[in-house]
Amino acid sequence: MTAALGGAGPRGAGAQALMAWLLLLPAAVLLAAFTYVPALGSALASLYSTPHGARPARFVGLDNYAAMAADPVFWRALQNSVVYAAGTVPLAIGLALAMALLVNGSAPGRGLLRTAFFLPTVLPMIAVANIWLFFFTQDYGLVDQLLGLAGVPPRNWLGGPHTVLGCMMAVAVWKEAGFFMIFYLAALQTIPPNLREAAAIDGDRRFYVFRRVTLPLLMPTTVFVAVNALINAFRLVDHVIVMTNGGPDNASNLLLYYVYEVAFKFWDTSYAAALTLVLLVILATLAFTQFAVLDRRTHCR
Amino acid sequence: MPGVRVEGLRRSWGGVAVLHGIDVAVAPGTLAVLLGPSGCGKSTLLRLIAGLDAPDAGRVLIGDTDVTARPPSGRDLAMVFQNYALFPHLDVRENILFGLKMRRIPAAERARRLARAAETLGLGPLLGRKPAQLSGGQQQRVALGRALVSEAPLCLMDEPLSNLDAQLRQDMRREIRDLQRRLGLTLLYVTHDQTEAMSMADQVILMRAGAVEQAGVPEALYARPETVFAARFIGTSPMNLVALEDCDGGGAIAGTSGAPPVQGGGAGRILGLRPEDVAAVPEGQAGGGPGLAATLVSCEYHGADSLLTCRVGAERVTARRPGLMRLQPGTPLHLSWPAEAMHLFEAGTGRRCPNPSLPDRRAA
Repeated sequence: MTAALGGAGPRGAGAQALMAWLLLLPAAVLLAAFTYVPALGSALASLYSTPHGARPARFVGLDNYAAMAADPVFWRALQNSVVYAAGTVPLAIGLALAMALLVNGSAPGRGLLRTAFFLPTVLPMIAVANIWLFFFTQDYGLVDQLLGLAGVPPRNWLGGPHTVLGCMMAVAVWKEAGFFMIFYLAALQTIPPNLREAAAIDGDRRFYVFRRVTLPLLMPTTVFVAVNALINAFRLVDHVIVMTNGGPDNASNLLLYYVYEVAFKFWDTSYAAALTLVLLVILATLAFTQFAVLDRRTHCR
Repeated sequence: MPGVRVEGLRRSWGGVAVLHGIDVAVAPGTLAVLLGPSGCGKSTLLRLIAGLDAPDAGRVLIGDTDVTARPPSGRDLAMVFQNYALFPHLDVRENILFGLKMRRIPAAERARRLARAAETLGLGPLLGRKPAQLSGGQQQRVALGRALVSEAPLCLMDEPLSNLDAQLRQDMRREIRDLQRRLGLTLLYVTHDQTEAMSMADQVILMRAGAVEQAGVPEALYARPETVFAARFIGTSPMNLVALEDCDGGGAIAGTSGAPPVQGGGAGRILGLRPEDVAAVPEGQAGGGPGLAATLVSCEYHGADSLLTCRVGAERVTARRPGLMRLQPGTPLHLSWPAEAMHLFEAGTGRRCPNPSLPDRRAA
C-alpha cells in the first residue's frame, strides 16, 4: 500500500492526498446528497412561503417560526414528544439492562429468554403496531381481558386522551428494550469474570458490586444506548400512523408525526421545513449534551 | 493463622474429570506452591479452595472449619489473580479500599490499613492513578496491596508473576516471600515455573493430570523424585532420563560397553542423572576411574556454567560444567558420576525403584 502511494517526495505526498480524497469521495458524496444538502434546503425553504400553483415561493423571513410559536398543535406535539421521550428512554434502558443481567448468567433456558426478549426488535413496526392495536381494543383486547379478570371495567385505551400517549409509550418500550438489551449483553460479556470473582472474595453485597463495578463499566454502553433511545423517541412515528393518526384531539401527536401531517396532508411544505429544523436543533442539542455530560462520568480505559 | 486441608476433592467439567480426588495439607503460616504444567488442575484446585467453583465431591477445610459450602466471602481469605483483576475505572486507592468498603470497615481503620499497605509496597505516589496508567509491576503491587489490606490470614495467588519480565519476577518473588514470612501468612501459590516453586516454597505440591504427583519440601523433590514426571519437571536443565538394557553383571545404557553402572537387570528401567551430577572431561584428562566414553554433540554456554550434550551409546546425556568450555562437537569425553547420584525408575509405571547399588535411603 505504502509503495503504491509512493511515500517519498512532494509528488508522492500529492498523490497520497489525492488518493485519500478519492477514497473518501463515495461516502462524502452520499452524505452530502442525502444529508447536508437536504438539511440546508430545508433551512432555506423554512424562510420562504409555500408555493401554490401560480403563486411562487417568496421570502418571508421568520414568519414560519412566528406562526409556529402561535400554533397550539405544535406546542401540544412538542409537549407530547417530551413526555414520550422522558418516559420511554429511561424505561427502555432500565428494562434493557435488567433483561441483559437476567440472561447474562447461566440460568437454564436463557437462550430461549434471549430470543424472547429480542423478538420485538426484529418484528416490523407496522406489524407490531397492529398487534398492539388488538391488545388495546376495548372489551375484546388482551389488556381489557386481563384487567377484566381483576374486575377492572373495560375502557377505550386508544380513544381516551389521557391514556393514548401512555399506550404508545408502552409499545415503544416493548419494541426498543430488546434491541438495547443486545448492547448491554455484549458489554457485560466484555467485563472480565475475574473482576466479579475478586469482588466475590471481598464480600457478598451484590448490589454494591453492581453499583461500584458493573454499572460504571457499562457507562460507555449506556451513553450509546441513551443517545440512540433519545433519537429514536423523536424519530419513531410508524405506530402513531398505524394506531392513532395522532388522535384523539392530538393527544398522541408527536413532533415528527406533526411534521409529516403538515408536509404531506396539509401540503404546507415551508412550515413543515421550519418544524423539521426545530426538531433537528432539539435532537442535536440533546445528543451533544448527553455525550458531554455522560462522557465526563465515563472512566477512561 | 489457619492451615488448609483438602480431602478427596473432585471436579469435572462436562464429563471430563479435572481433579481426581486431591488430598493436600498446608501447615499454618507456611508457603505452599501448587506446581504443574498447564492443564494439570492446579488453578482449578485453587479456585475450589477460594470457593469460586464448587467441587463435585470432597471437603475444603480452612483451620479446622469445613468451608466447602461457604461462599468465597465467608472463607476469610484473600486472592491475587493472574491478570490482577484490578477495577479499571477505579484509581489505586479505591481499588485497594474496595473490599474494605464492601465489608463496611470504619473509615479510620481503612485509612490505617491503606497507609500500611502503601508503605509496605511503595504505592504512595501511585494512589491517585488508574490501573491503565500503571506498569505491569505496579499493577501487580496494587493487586498485592488489595490482598494485604484485607488482613486475611490465608492468601491465594494464581500465577501472580507470570505477566512480569524475568528481572521483576525475581524481585517480586523475594518480596512476596518476605511479606509472607513477616506477616506469618498461610500462602497458597500456583505456578508452572519450577524455579519459582523451588526458590519460594516451604512445601511444593507437584500436580499432573488432576492428581498430586509428589508433595514435599523442595529439597525432597529435587533429591528424590518419586516419578519420572517429577524428575523431569524439577530442576533447570531437566534430569537426563535414559533407557537401560540388560548386560553382563547389571544394567547399562544401550549401546555402551564397560563396567555396568547399575547392578541388577537393566531392561524395563530408566536411569535418571542430574546434569550437575555428571562430570564430563576430555578423554585424555580423565583420571582413569570408572566411567563411560562419550562424544560431544553440542555445547551451550550459560555464563556461570556450560551445558554439554553428549552421545553415550544410543542415548544422549547432558552434563553441566562450571565456567566456559571451548570444545568442538565430536570431541571424545569421559563421563562419570557418583553412585548415589543415580535415580532409577520403572519404565512401565514411571515410579521410582530402589537403586540396588545403594542401600535404600528411605528404608534407612
